[in-house]
Amino acid sequence: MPIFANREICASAGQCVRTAGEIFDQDNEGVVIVLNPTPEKEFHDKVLTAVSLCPSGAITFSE
Amino acid sequence: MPDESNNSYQSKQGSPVTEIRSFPLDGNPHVPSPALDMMRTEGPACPIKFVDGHEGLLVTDYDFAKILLSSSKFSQLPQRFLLPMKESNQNQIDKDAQDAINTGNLLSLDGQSHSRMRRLVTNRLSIKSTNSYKDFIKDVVSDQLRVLLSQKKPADLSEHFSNPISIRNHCQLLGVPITHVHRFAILFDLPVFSEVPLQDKIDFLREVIEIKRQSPGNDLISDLLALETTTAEVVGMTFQVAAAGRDSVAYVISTAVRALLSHKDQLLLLQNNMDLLPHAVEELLRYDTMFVTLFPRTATEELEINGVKIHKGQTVAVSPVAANRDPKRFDNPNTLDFGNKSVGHLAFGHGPHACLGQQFARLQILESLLQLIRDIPTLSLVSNEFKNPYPLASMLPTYEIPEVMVTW
Repeated sequence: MPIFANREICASAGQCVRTAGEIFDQDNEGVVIVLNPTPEKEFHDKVLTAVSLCPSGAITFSE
Repeated sequence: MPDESNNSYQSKQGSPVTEIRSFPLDGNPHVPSPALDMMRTEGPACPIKFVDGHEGLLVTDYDFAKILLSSSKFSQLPQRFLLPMKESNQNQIDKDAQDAINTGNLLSLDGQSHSRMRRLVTNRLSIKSTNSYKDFIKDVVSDQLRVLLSQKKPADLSEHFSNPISIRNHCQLLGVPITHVHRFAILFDLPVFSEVPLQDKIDFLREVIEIKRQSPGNDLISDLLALETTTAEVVGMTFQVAAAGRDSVAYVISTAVRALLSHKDQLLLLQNNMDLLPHAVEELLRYDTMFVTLFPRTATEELEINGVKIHKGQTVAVSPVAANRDPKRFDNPNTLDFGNKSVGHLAFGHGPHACLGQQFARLQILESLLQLIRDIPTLSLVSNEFKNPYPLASMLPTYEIPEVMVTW
């Protein structure tokens, strides 16, 4: 299942970028951008951590 | 039937309910009130009395706290407090100033009105933007380190290190010119609810905003001026960012240093492996959580969370201090332990109102600890006692920044 980020509810805390900067970025309002919605297995742990650290619950992902 | 001897009575459902409490005041920055742990054993959300007489709930459970702070069925209003507001006759301000403060008061806004205002500053506080301050922060920290070391021993780390670091970085972010940093430090001195008239603070910010309007720079105020914003929005959001970040970073640096110096085993761990530092910062944030409770949330409809019924109009206060010590979530929660999985602590809150300055805060805390540990290996605490009862900085409550008397 690809990573989905709900830009409406993103609170721009930046935790996803801090945790998995290869996968997530922020636009010029600090809102989440998913750089790679289908990352390799080696990134899955980081992405799952980003999901749990996202304060708004904007990011969803399951392996 | 009421049982007078132990202040509990049977509810209609037959389970014991304790008499409604007032907020416990016997905690300090490193040792929360034991009442919080006790409440958590009774349930995730316990009855508590607000100052206006309202019977609300206090959340001490980690999972419950996250659910509540993420729920769309709560409003930030009315703002009720668990402790009395400090009486002040210094808060008379002009109408435009009042409008501005109301406009920018993110913690009083819900839904789209909230996120619209928040997004005016989220670019400046994004990871990429805060990372651009790394060199500036590094220079400020090393300069304040020099200032600290030039003091007579013992010296107060809060006065000569934590607070000035926070002020200088904050001014840089906001766009307060170097010429005005000294006045900012006086007007926005700690504790946050000082006797400095609110009108003076607003007038100072208006003056700085005018300077930026004449010559824009790479800073938050210039960002606000460049967007399609009203005057109320520019003044309001400037005040919001100035006030919200004012004592927090200084508080965390001071309490983190104090915790490190009173846990020599953890300090040694760090000294032997500085790669641990980012993780140690998260554990220190968990252990030294500043907000005993957050601004409360009020239910906009009848609902139930994990079996707890919440009435429409009932106000709920979340305790990040308590949630961060929840043994269901953190092993040995009352121990400072850099091996602990502190990832996911609630020191920066949770949900749409989660601290928007958190990444800027992290950089400052990290750099401050890095330089202290690396450059003053003989740093030690002169006294490890906390005042009792411990003084509060706000009615939420939050604690006052501690004096941290050190020698080297």
